[in-house]
Amino acid sequence: MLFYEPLFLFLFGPAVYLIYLFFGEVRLRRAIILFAASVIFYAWSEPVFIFLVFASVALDLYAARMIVASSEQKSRKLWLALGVVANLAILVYYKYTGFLAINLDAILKALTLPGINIPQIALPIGVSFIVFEKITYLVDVYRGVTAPARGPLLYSLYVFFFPKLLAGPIIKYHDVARQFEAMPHADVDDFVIGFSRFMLGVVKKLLFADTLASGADLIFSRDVGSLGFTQAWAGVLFFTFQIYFDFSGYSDMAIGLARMFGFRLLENFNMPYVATSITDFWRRWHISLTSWIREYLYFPLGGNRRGEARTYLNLWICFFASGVWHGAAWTYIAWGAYNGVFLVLDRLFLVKSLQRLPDWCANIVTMIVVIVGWTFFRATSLNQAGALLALMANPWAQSGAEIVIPEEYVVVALIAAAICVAQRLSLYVKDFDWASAAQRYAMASNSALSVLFLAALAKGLADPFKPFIYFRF
Amino acid sequence: MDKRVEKDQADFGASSSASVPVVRAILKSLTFSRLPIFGCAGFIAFLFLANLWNFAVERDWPKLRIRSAWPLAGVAKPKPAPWTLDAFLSGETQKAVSANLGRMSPVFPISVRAKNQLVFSLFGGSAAPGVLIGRNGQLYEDIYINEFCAREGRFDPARLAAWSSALRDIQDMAQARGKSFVYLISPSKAARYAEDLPKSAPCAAHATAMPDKLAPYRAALDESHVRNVDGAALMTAEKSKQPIALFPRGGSHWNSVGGALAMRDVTRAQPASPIGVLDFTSAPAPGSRRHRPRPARSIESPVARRILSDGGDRQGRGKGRSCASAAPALRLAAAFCIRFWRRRRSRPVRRKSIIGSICGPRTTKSNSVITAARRATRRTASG
Repeated sequence: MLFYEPLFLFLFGPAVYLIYLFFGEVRLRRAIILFAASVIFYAWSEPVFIFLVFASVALDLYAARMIVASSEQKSRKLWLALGVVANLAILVYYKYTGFLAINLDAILKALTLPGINIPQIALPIGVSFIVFEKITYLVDVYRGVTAPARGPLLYSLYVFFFPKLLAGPIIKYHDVARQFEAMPHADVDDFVIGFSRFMLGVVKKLLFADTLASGADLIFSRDVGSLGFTQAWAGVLFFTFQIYFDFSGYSDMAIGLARMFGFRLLENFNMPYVATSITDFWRRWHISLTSWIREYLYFPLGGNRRGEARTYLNLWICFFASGVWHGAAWTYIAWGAYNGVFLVLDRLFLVKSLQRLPDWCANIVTMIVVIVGWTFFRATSLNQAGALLALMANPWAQSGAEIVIPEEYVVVALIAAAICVAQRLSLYVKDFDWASAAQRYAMASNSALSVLFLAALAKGLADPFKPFIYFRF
Repeated sequence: MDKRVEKDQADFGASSSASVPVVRAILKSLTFSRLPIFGCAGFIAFLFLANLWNFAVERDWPKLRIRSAWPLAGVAKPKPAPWTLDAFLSGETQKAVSANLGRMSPVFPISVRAKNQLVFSLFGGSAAPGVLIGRNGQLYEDIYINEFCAREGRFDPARLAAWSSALRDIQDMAQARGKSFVYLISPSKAARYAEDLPKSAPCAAHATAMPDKLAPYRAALDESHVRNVDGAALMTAEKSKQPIALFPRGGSHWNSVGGALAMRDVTRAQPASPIGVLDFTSAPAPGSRRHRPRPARSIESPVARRILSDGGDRQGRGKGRSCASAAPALRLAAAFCIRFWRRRRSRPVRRKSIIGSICGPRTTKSNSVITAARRATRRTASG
């Protein structure tokens, strides 16, 4: 069940909210209502996998209790390892078994040995996000950052909380533990701010991302041999804007929905396309994932405390792992490794070099690096990615057949580009930010948002369904 | 309303609110600038209540459903969602429920219209899935364009022979049962109006020089002695002769004029059939514009007159009614023919009169035969 589907928008969402408002005076009742709604929300999409998640939640609670109860460090580490491995095992089984089997099969056949054939395992929705969040709980308890959950209801609500369940943001347990314990009741301000944010997310997803997706699909579905320089760049640019509006739109919906229930989740995007280096980009893009990787992978690997060479290796490993987390395919792995290389280069000399340039110039250079990365991310194979990059680097490459891109795709892409440019321009105006401007001219901005929201709803009703990109991870 | 936890508010930068009466708090929050937000929320709430109402009245009082006053034409009602365990586990139920809920929404028709109109008005394009706008405002379905552009002129002789042989068997079987069989090759708009294909069509540049796909099929049919009518060639031949287009600009299939021409050739292919030969003359209806693809013509034929007149009681007098399209006439013609086939064995006398009146040439005598036969039938029925 996605947030912009008719079932959620016109049935589930309003029903849950009304029940929450009218029957949720007592804190416990609010928790129960939200938990029940979250379970129904997830069970609707994953009626079988949800039982495994329940079992895993029970194991986490037990492991956390044992970590706290154990006096020996060795024993505590063992319980932590058990919990983390059990969670990662779920992720590896569902997400990577097929990929590992295919590659092992290819290697065995190359060695003229009998291959293996494992049936495809369906990937449960949101498994990557759920597993990472559950790991944060165990590690936070181990580190003493937070106490174990006061009860199974609270921890289960943290795991299943439906606004962030399917595609994040990845919420660390210690960031929301106090909110879940307090279970504040939403007021009118929460509703207005939350719903406005939700509306913005719907507009970004349905009006921008879905249209840009059609443009990207038009190019990426073609045989690369029939594409030219312009078409290759067009396809990749469509995707560059598509992924931003798609994912940030989803995050807006998640954060907005959580706010409607009185919860404040951390931001997941901060104008990533104004970044002046790859390091800066990753501080602005999918902030929750970067933060998770830093706290739960980079620091345990040693961070920057074991010398320069080890620091660079740790950085590269973290982004390699990020690529692996995104998907079981060589393109994602290549994308992660590529980003890791640039993180290391930033540390070595690139950031200093870019700082000598004007901001807008550094921004353009960074965007080119990011766009090349997105080519790997979107391509269906490394061959396609390589061929597209070759076309993008050859201005004289002509297309074999004329590809007519509908005007509306181009217009939406131009508007998306204008929005990103406006974000950059806003940095040059002292004491200006778009959120404050929207508040100052609230009537105009709310009216425009409402009109766009209704247009987005109409488009969502009329168009065939298009899932979120990060839905698949 | 519960008090906010002050520490949480301080952490997240929000000011703590003292407990205020709920109503005062709500009214304080209802600033003018927030009205659009509340308006959208109210719209969502309305649709939510409309859904609940529709669920409640669906089974017993379906006419009380809240629905659009201008529903979309020609849209099939969605299949009910399958509520079985297997379907639920496979995700089929969930997809169907969400899709059905959207389609049954009272704002679905206006959403589709608004989206399509906006894209067309602003960009001149088509937002309807699978529909493309070609030159001169011609609409095409992409499946037909893809099929046309994929034509390479190659064919599999063995498969072709098996196909024509199967058709021959069907023809023989039909004849053995006293039926007539004529195979009609129906035309593709993409092929017949290739000059208007949109620029985005893969073969737009050489659309008028595509290989002839049908020649080997026609040859196979002739070789197997299958009676056939080449609707595609007929449309091509008649395209320049007819004052109006044979495919409507806004449609995917040939219009009633094209259909009538094909029906004429079908009946000519089997003149000995009980239906006889459908022959007609035609002229654009008064007030219709000649060279616009909006068929407004009358078909003066004994067949059409019988169908359109009151129960066939008129004595063949009166002009064939001009109608905006001959589609109702053809549908009625088809209905009469089907009735004839079904009654063939049981009422030979009546069949004869029906043949004479509907499918035979225009004669006063046959009209009298109809009227007399009907009077006789009524007298018999009344005892």
